[in-house]
Amino acid sequence: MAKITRRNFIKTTGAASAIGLAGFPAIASAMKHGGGKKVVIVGGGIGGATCARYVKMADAGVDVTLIEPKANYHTCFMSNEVLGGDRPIDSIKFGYDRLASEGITVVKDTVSAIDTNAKKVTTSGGKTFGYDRCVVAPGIDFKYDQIEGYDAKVANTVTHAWQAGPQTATLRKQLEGMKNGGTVVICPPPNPFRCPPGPYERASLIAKYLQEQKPKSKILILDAKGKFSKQGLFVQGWKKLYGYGTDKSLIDWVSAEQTDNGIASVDAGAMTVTTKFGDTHKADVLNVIPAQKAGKIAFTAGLTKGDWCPVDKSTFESTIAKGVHVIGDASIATKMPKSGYSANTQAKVCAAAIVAMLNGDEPGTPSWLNTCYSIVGKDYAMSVAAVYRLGKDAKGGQLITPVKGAGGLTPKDASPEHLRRELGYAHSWFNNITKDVFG
Amino acid sequence: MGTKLIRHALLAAGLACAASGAFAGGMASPSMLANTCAGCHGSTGNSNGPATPGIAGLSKGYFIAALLSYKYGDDEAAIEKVVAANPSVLDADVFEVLPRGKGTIMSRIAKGFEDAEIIAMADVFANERFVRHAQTTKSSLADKGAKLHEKHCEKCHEDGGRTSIDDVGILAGQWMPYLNNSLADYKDGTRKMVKKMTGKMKKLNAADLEALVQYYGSQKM
Repeated sequence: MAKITRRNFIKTTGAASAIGLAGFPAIASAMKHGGGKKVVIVGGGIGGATCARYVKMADAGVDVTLIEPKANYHTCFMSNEVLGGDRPIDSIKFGYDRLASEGITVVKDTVSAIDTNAKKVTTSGGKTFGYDRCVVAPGIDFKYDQIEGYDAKVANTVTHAWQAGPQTATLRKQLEGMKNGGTVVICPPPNPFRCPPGPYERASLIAKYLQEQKPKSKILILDAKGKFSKQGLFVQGWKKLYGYGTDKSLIDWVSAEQTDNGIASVDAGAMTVTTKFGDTHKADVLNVIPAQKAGKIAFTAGLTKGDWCPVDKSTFESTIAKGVHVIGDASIATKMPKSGYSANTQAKVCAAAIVAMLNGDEPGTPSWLNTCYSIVGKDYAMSVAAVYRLGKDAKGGQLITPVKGAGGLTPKDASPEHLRRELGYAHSWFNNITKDVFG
Repeated sequence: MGTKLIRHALLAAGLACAASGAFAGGMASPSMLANTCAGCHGSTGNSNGPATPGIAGLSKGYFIAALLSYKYGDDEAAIEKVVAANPSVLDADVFEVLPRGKGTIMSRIAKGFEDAEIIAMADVFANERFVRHAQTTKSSLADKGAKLHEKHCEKCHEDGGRTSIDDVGILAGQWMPYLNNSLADYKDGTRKMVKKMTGKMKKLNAADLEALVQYYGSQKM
């Protein structure tokens, strides 16, 4: 037998793929099958927009409608770079023109009700949309009632900035206006919440800004938790860059043991915050991130159990209402973190399942991934990653299980060059995921 | 743009699914697996940069070698086992896996995929077209790089570094920060080269390498 050279190997592969293409007529019939079926997607964030595109790409015959009240979406990821002054806010702003050009009907409106029996969605603008499959991707809402003196209105000045946009710009302006020697107080929420390492990346990038511009200032983190995501790597970075642990530290972290599990009240007029333990702290800039729950429409439509939405993990179909899928932060997708990348890969699993179901096929085996970069300072970033498969928990229920022996954190002994490169990969991730989501 | 290509990948997977009937519980489809890479490497494996490489159009052999290297590190026995178990895909006489170091997240991610999944994803990306992005380059340096490429690199990195034939990486139009990182890793030994490349690299100084990167970055077609 003739030896297979690498060049011949390529030719063979090429031939194999040509045979694959010969099977294309079978796809045409599959497309016809899904043709005319209606998918209505509620919410144009990372999960919703990804799902819209991937349903349409898998089956152009499906009629996809995306309903979103805002004309533009500001990504939460990289919004901390806006706060640190490292990027303009417009660089995290994305519109829906590309989705529309791909044949997705984009409706600027707010969904006020979902009738899961009649299979129709109603908007506050008075429109009604019937669906074969509905995808609910509302992201998060805040439990304002858990902090005295804090509500959606107060949040316009004492920001949470945990949904990027106007509040991100406000918080940045407040940091720019703060005196050298001022105190920034950040109050992270209890678990579970969107973007677990986010508050600590925020502290890092504000520290970087203060160190460069207002070095007499400091950051006080009043935490509702006793430990936090990527803590070892953050603390290592803070020690290296911001004097953490010394009396000159730019960052001071107060754990749940000292706050008695977070803050009890905010006085927006006096710019003070009081912990549950009873200590009151005066702030020059105050950032309060409340506890979270699924976006409002998930509750209105009756899709929640507790604060979040239970789903079949292989399709993201609600276990409460048939024909409705919930993806992203609002869903219970244990053990995935509530992150943009999680929402993106969940949306693809959901899109593939929906297209299969509309075509009368069994949904395929899912696969998920999450990588999360956190920027700690100049030329300094680190990451955590996991690959997920559908597994079982101790009681035999579905569990999105990280593959054993894979994933994990940037090594603690990573070289400065390694950390510098991770910053480049963080920015690449931002460029690539936003293009994957918004086109 | 790559939207057509994504559709192609998804449909091809749909086809595989239809052909094998219900596939719940089995291996995830090639596109289901490959689509999870898009967050960092771009839709269809075409990266929008600046540092993560485009992986569309990589030969099956190159892709598999890279992933096995990230997955198994220095464990040559494990890699040999994979090669031996896949004789229809990997030719033991020519297939070579060289260490790539642990400087990226890939050494953590690749461990999450079965060997068969890696091979399935290699097929998806080998069938995608590599898109070259406009990058800012200096024409005088790029011209110098073009001559250096012709003299030292063209024999293996054919067509100005545009192809992945013979399981080489795509250089033309690849992101320049990625090329710089790779060259730095070759220079300090973190990433191992094939023997003939080691000889060539000895003849190239830092300015030569910069010119080569500028040449590759300047190719947009």
